Amino acid sequence: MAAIITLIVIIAALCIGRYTISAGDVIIYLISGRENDPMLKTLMWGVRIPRVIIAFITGAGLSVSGVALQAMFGNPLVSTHVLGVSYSAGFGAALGILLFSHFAYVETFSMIFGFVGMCLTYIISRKKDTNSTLMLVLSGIIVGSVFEALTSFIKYIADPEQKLPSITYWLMGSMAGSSMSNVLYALPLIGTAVLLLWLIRWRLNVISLSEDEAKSLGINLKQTRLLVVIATTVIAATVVSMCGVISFVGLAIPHLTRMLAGNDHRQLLPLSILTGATYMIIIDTCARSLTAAEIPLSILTALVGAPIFALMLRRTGGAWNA
Amino acid sequence: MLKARNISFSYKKHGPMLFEDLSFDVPKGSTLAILGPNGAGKTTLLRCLMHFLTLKDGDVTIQDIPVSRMKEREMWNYISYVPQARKLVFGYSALDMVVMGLSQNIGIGMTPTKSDYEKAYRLLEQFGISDLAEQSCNTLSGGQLQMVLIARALIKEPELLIMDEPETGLDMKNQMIVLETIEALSRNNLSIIINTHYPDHALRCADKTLLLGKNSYIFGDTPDVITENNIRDFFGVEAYITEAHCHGRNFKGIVPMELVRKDPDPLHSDVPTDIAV
Repeated sequence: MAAIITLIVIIAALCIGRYTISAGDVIIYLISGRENDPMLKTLMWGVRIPRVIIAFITGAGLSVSGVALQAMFGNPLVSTHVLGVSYSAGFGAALGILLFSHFAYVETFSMIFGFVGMCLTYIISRKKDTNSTLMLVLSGIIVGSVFEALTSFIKYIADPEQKLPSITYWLMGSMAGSSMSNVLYALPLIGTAVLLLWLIRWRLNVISLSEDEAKSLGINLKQTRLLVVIATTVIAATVVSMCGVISFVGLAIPHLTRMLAGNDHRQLLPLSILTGATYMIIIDTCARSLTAAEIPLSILTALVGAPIFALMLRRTGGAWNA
Repeated sequence: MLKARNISFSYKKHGPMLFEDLSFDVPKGSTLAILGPNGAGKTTLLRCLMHFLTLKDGDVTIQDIPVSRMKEREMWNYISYVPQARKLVFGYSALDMVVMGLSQNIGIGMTPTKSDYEKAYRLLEQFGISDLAEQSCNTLSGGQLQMVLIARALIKEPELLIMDEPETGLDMKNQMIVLETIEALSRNNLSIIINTHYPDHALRCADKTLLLGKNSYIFGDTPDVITENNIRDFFGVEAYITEAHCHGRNFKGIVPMELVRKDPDPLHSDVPTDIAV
């Protein structure tokens, strides 16, 4: 059912835009490769298909990261922002824009600083005989706030005519720059990270219990946590490096999915891939077609997502602990 | 089965010891109760035994192998832990919860098999709660959840069961269910360590008792450790131990009477002797 909805949304997203294409033409083109419209091939491969794929992997990645981190922290309030990775990757992107103008530098800096942020969080949190989950959250907050402050500093010193608008726009998230080269760069990274999290779907159930309980059930807690931290960092850093900081998806979509599928990660994880992807494709389609100019993603993710989330929350009372 | 020799622990590197020079053992098939006032370090001691916390001094051995030298996986082959029954952040079904007890054998990329689920279901049947199998643990009563947690601990067939206050927060009937389960498991040659607030529960089901105080401890056979004198010294409560013979068995109960008052002057006493109404 969820897969069918995702498929319909993908086809709709390929049809909608400044230049509207009929669903029939899109389906015929996708199945047989025959094009009735000479513009179709250029439009599909140059703009819409890469953009839909990027939206798919971004939404799926952020949603799966949220699910995994919520399990690891045993707390439904966390998302990729909690490890400080989004902020450090955002800082990297801002620094890249400030120092260079080439897109490749922005991506590279964002990725490098994403990992630097993760490593700092991990190093600060390591202390024997302490509550390691709490330490990790607090370290994430420390690292996140330092990089947030550094990003503000970069905005403060950036040239207000040229650099500052690009930094601000980048930090609000956009998929306008999507291309097939982006897809080739992001798909293996996010795909591998999601696959890794899928492989430990049963362990995610176990680590969502208390720390002592999870240890006593005989799983290698350190190894499992490290896998979650690495996979979610790869996803968050790749997303930020490619399309800026996208808020709300990593927190709200896992909740919405829990309300639909329950808490067992064997069902929750695959479903959150589809819900995250569907949501992000809808948001990106709105972002590029609602007004003449592109609307930044973070504005829409919250504006569109919040009412849906509020409605579901009121209806189910938050089904994650039932 | 488990031996502790001269163990000491402190939360701070150079701070005061929470407990010092403790020695006790749990022979195979016997039950040890750890008793003591709040803050004496009962839960900390349990966490040290399972190597969740590192001892400052001394050794804990299982089958004569020091726990500190064991691999975690090896240690959890012997031990199962039953935590206090608390509501979960994310609710799972009772059956899934029991199957989690087999997670040690479920590697990366794997999920529990049909036979794992059958084994879990049989355990729930043994406990008479198989009708709850599909229910979320967060909708179960405290007693039912405790039984699910015990089933989860037993599914991997451990040799030593460590239970942290298994009867706390339960009503009288559910306390009895838990105590009878502990007695039945002990008869099946399982070694058990239980951490409890109730001396009468220790009298009922523990062969040995470790009475933990702020600066001292007593370890020995339960009837020798739980005496009126020791209750007065360790808990500060004057109590009377009574005995009843029923259904061919002796039952001991503890009647707490009053607090031990060290200072007869009510102005300087911790507890008021007269309360004006």
